Amino acid sequence: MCGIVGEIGPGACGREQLQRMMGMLTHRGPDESGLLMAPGVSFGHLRLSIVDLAHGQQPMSTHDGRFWVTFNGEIFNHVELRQELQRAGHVFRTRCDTEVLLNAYRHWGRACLEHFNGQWAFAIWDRQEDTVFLARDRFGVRPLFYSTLTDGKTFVFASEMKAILADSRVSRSWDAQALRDIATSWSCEAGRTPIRSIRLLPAGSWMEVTARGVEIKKWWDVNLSPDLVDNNRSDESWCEEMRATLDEACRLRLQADVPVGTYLSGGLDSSIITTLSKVNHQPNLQTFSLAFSDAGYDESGFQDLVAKQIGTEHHTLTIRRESVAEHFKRAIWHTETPMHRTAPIPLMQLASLVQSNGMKVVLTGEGADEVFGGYDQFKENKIRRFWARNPRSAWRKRLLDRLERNVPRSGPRTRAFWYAFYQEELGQTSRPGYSHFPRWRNGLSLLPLLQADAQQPTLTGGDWVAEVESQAPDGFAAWDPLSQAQYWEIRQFLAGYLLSSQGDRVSMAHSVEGRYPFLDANVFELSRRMPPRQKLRVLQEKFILKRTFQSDLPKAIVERKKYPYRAPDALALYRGALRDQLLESLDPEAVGRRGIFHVEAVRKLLDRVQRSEDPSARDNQALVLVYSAHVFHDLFIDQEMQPSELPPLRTVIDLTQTSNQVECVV
Amino acid sequence: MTTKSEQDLVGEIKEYICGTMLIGLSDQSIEPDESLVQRGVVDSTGVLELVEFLQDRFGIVVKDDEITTDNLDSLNSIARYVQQKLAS
Repeated sequence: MCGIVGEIGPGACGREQLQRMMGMLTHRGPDESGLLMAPGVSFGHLRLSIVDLAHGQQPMSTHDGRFWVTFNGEIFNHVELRQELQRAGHVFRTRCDTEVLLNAYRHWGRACLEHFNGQWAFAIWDRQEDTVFLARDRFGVRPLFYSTLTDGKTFVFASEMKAILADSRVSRSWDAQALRDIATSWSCEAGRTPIRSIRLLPAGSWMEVTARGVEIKKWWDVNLSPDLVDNNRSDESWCEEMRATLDEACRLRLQADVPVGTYLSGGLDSSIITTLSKVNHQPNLQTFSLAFSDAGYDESGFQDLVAKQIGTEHHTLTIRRESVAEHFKRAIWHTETPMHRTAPIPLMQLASLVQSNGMKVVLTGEGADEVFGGYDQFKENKIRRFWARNPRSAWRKRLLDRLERNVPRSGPRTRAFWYAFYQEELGQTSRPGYSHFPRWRNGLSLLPLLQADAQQPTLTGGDWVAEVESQAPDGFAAWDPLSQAQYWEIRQFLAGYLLSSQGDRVSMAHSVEGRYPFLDANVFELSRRMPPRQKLRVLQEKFILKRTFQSDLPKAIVERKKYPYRAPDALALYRGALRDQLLESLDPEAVGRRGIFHVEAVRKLLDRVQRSEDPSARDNQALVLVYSAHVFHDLFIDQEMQPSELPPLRTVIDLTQTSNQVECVV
Repeated sequence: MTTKSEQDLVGEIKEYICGTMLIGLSDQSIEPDESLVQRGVVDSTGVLELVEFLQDRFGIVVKDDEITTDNLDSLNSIARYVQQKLAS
């Protein structure tokens, strides 16, 4: 796992500037650094060494010096691909997946992406053609941001926006539409980022930079079309394949030249990953968990139960409410986005615990709910559709009572009002985004907080939903309702929030690489073929997944109700010792100066939070959103980037003078 | 308590909702018959806040089975409901 950065084109930066940009990413690659300078091309690399520690320095080239890569990520099936490529006559000098990537590109061209099972973002310079090919993995585990300088010809890319902003030629101002995206769906749409001049290459996409310009194309999308579904198999046969495929996904991800641990949340998914890893592959497994001093968030009882049964060396970090406030700014520095919840902060601290135990890699259960049908969101969608078929039914809506998350704290007294909330849009079940309407509606209700931007006329809520819906793949209307809901969940919330703000960004803050067996290419292929009823059977979530592993895990884990991971939100910020920082950031003058939110709207919000013992879910989210947007503004719009010192520079490739001389300093 | 017209009640309730419950600006308009649920102003937590306000301000007791969208989903329906309670 690593950090990558580069510039391409007539204005490509010199070495000093490149090193400044690299200096923004040292947390991603603290072990060593490397750079490549050529006419019109500057590549930088920060390395977190995991495979073939002695070799594998980057930027790396094919043996003939034609293709050069700067690569962040892992190709988990590199051993198998290497054999295939060797048979085809390609020469290898290291054991690294980086070299497999290079030769695969040389051999298959863009189609190499289809052969990779992994998580990556990379840029390959073809020295002969003078083109640069950049790509991201299927689900968007590893990030890749880019920008074009005002000359319109020079292209900049990096693993994180802060490295791009370290080039002072890149302009900094808010993208008002991105802020509306984030408020509504917690993530940006259509490659937008909070900074107008910077964009994110979407998951499953590649781009090519040539003298003619930039071309972007989606090479993979979540496809859960019914044509792919196999309806003629028994439960047992699915269970058998599930076990074998997931076990192989774990095996591939446990390969490393450094020890690999797992996160244990106390839920089903991470317990499965931990069990498979420990029992089948890594007898001396270490596990890591978050506990909370606030009992309402704590799952340590379940974590201890699994750790004890499986017999791992277990580490627990207990999060106090105050520490959420203490680490708030640093979390925004790493997530590079305003957010609704503080949940990324404890995960950032957990990565710190992993790091302090001398480890660099962890497997987690992320992705299982999206891929195998675990979320209450999916049940809610099913119930709302069932209700929509007979809207006058008095009892159909009562199925919503079964979803714990949907029963508000206000209890049964207010039932009429939460039914009314879910009753909206019952007549629109054929709309592509139907499953997510309630969630988007909640988000859209936060928009009146935002100050309108005259230069970027705002879309109405209806426009926003229509824009999102227009991105649905061809034939979407024929998909099963569960598959449709899975699509939005994977494309929006998983890619745009969970894998970034709760994934890559906060684990890499402490140089820890997360690996996700449930997002393995073959595991997802299995999900594609599996009928929706094997995922959500009536209202039983993750039906086949649970059935497959029920005898491996403590009964209490298999049978427990789904418990969403959360952390203390508004009150941790508002009631704690650092309350003054929050109040200072949100006072009317400060709100007006930053110009993102309406002064009066923020004043009213603070007033409500102050008067309430237990602020509503919406006020909680609104407060965290406003405060985090202000922190983002201070860190990324107002402040100059301050690069850190680079780790040992072990590779310097200078092709600026003599066109064919390659010098490696190792 | 002196009798209040439905219009006075609508004004008072609107002032509270816009000045306190509404996310955003107080001068955003809410039509008297507009659904507060659809508008995203009142959710299940918000309705309890609203009930508390009605009880305090108008001295009425809102029973659990009266927390319905018929009674509490628009400025007009709330005003009508409050007036009935005050009259009974």
